[in-house]
Formats: sequence, structure tokens, C-alpha cells
Amino acid sequence: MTQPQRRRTLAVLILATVFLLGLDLSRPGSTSFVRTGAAAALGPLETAMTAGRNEDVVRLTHERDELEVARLQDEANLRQARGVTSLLASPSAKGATLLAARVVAFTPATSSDDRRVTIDVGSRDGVTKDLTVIAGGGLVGRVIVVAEWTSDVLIVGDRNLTVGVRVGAEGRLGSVSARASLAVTPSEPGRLSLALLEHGTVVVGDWVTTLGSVGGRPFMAGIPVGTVVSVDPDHGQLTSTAVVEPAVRIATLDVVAVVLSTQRSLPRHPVLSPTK
Amino acid sequence: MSSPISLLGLLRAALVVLAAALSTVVLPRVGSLGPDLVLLVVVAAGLLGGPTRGALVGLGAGWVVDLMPPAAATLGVAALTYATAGAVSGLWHRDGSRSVFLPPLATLAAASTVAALGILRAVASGWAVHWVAAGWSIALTTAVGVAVVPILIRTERQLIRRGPA
Repeated sequence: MTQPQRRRTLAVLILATVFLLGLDLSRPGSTSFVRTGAAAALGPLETAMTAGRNEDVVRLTHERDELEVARLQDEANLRQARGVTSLLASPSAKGATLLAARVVAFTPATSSDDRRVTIDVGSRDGVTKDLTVIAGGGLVGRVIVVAEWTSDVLIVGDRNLTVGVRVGAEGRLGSVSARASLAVTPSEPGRLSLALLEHGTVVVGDWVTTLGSVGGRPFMAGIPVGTVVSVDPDHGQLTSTAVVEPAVRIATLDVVAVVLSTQRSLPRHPVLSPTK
Repeated sequence: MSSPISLLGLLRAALVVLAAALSTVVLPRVGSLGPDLVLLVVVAAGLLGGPTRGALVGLGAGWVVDLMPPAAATLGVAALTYATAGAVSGLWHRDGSRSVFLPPLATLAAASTVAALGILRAVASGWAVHWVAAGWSIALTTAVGVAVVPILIRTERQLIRRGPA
């Protein structure tokens, strides 16, 4: 290739890139086939590069639970495995089908500020878009891209993710996101910002759990999101805001579970209120 | 005549995919900050072939970074960023020069370009700017580049020399 030819190729390719970027920004769903195709090709490579396979982890987790040889195993793994088990037993997960998965890749710190992970289950395992992903500690995020063998998960802490929540024992409504609301100094990285819908008091130590969506998609109700660690001073913001420490430590995320279904199978019966 | 170019292209493509996979699979488990491995391949191409070649390789490498699962929120951002970085590193291209100072300088310039574009994007979008992380990224990438870029250049030179024979 001569120099002018190379320049022309570069110009055409840059134009094509700018066009795709514009398309992606203006119609977010329109380029999903590119992501899905790339994930189908590159996802298995990432899975192969992660030492130990999913089946091993699941089998080992079961063995650990059954034989109670837990203390001999990796402590971090064990904590998460126990967390998933306890989550399975929690009322909110009752009737839900969970699919165990392993985190195989993270968004590199060098290329962008997105907070996403890739897990090693995909459409072949029954994963579809907008399913809730949980870990031992609580909420991880929701599935946004599904390939055959892997899926991308938008995790708590991404600036594009806002979660409707209930706060404290009274269950006040609010929302949690990575972006700090106006008039409040941005919190340190890794922390989340909580904004109540109406005026109310939040105290340090309050539990924050998901509000839930219709049909449990994208978020099931009652999953721990984090704890309130500090309440922002009143600088004239419309409602109370606070800083939340996430329940799940993203940096050490390993075993997670995709909530496949929360569909009720039993009809709800109407009840008569007592007359006296 | 086309075979040596495609062999070199194949090597670069394999290196870019490997570097992108390492950056998503291995580096995040080691620490929250790490060197930009993909950029080193781009810098080597720019140093060897000039701004246009650097930008072309950068564009391709950026697309791999964008598409490597978990795929970026907006496709094409990394592609344009790395294309710019490739062109910047190509500015240090000197015909036949084997100076030991050029690779670190080009890496520093390219890493600074990537960091500057990231900061620019954050400022334009009203996001928090992570100055310390950007500084560490430049420092780590340059430090690794001092060792890796000359090896890449030497390998690519050998491939080019052996190619036509």
C-alpha cells in the first residue's frame, strides 16, 4: 500500500468509526449485533484464559457445602458460595431459579470508566437480557449483552446504572447511582450515592435493598444493595442524600448467580378483612 | 510481496487480541491500575511506520478494545482514541533511526494522549475526573513500554527483513 492509498483507507475507516459511534449514541440498541458477534468470538477466549472452569467451581462449592471441609478451601470463594446459598434461602429468592456463573473479565481500568463484567454463561444456558445478577453479599447488576456462551453485566457503580431502592427499617423509597447528586461533593470511587424520593431522614447504618421491578426484571425486590455510611449535609438539595457502601465488593467478584425467573406459580388468594 | 505484510499484520492482530484479553482477564485481578498493553503494540507500529500507519493500527486495536467483552458503553470511542495515539506515536518515527530514546518518548506521548482524551471526555460529559488514576496509567504504561516496545520493534523489523526473501 502506498502512502496516499493508506491515507485514504485511514480516512474511510475513521469516517466509518465516527458513523458507528454516532449510530451507537443515537440508537443504543442498533449496534447490539456487533457486540453480540464480538462477544461470541472473544468471550470463549476470555473464559479459557480464566483458570478453572465453571463446572469445577459449582461442583466444588457443592462438595464444600456438603462435606463441611470449608475451612480448607479458599476463604473468599467460600464466603461467596455461602452467600449464594444464603441468598437462595432468603424469602426474596424463594421460587426463583438461579444460574451459577463465574466472572471472567472486567472492564480494563485503562480504556474507559465503564463498570462492566463478563460472566461465563450465555444464551445457551438460558440467560436473556435484563436479568438480575446477584452475589453472596447482594446485588451485582443486570445483564445487558447476551452472547452464546458469555454475557455482559452492567454492575452497581456504573454511571449509567440507577437502582430503585428501599432504605432503612421503614422502607423509604429512593434511588442509588454512582453519580453524586448536584450540590453534593462527589463521593470517593467505589461508593454509591443515595437520593430519597421525598424528605425523610436517613441514618448511618441503614440497610439499602432493591425496590424491585415488574416480573423481577431488571431487578428483583429485596436484594441488599449496601449500607449507608454517611449522610450528606444539607446544602439545599431537594431531598436527603447519603453515601452508600456497596454490599458486594466488585474488585473481588468471582462467583455470581443469574436470577433466571421469579415468576409466581401459585395464584394469590384474596382475603376477607375481619368485620369486627 | 503481500505475504510479509500479512504476516506482520497477523502478528499485530494476535498481539492486540492477546493484550486486550490480558487487560480484561488478568490485570483487573492483580490491581485496580495497570499498564495499557494494547497501546504498546500501537506505539511500536507508529514508530516503525509513521503517523498514518500508526493511526491505522490504532484504529483497529481500538475496535478490538471496544468489542472485547465486556464491550464498551459507546462503541468507537476507544477506536478513535487509539487512532489518535497511534498518529501521535508516529510523529516520533525516524527513517532508519535506532535511538534508544525514541520508544520511551513515543510511549509517553501516546499514553498521555490516551489519558488526555479520557479526561477531555470526562470533563465534556460532566463526570468526575480521576487525575491520579490517569497519572498512574501514563507512568505504568511508559515504564512497561521502555522494556516492551523495543522488543516489538525488533521483532517486526526482523519480520519485514525476512519477508521478501
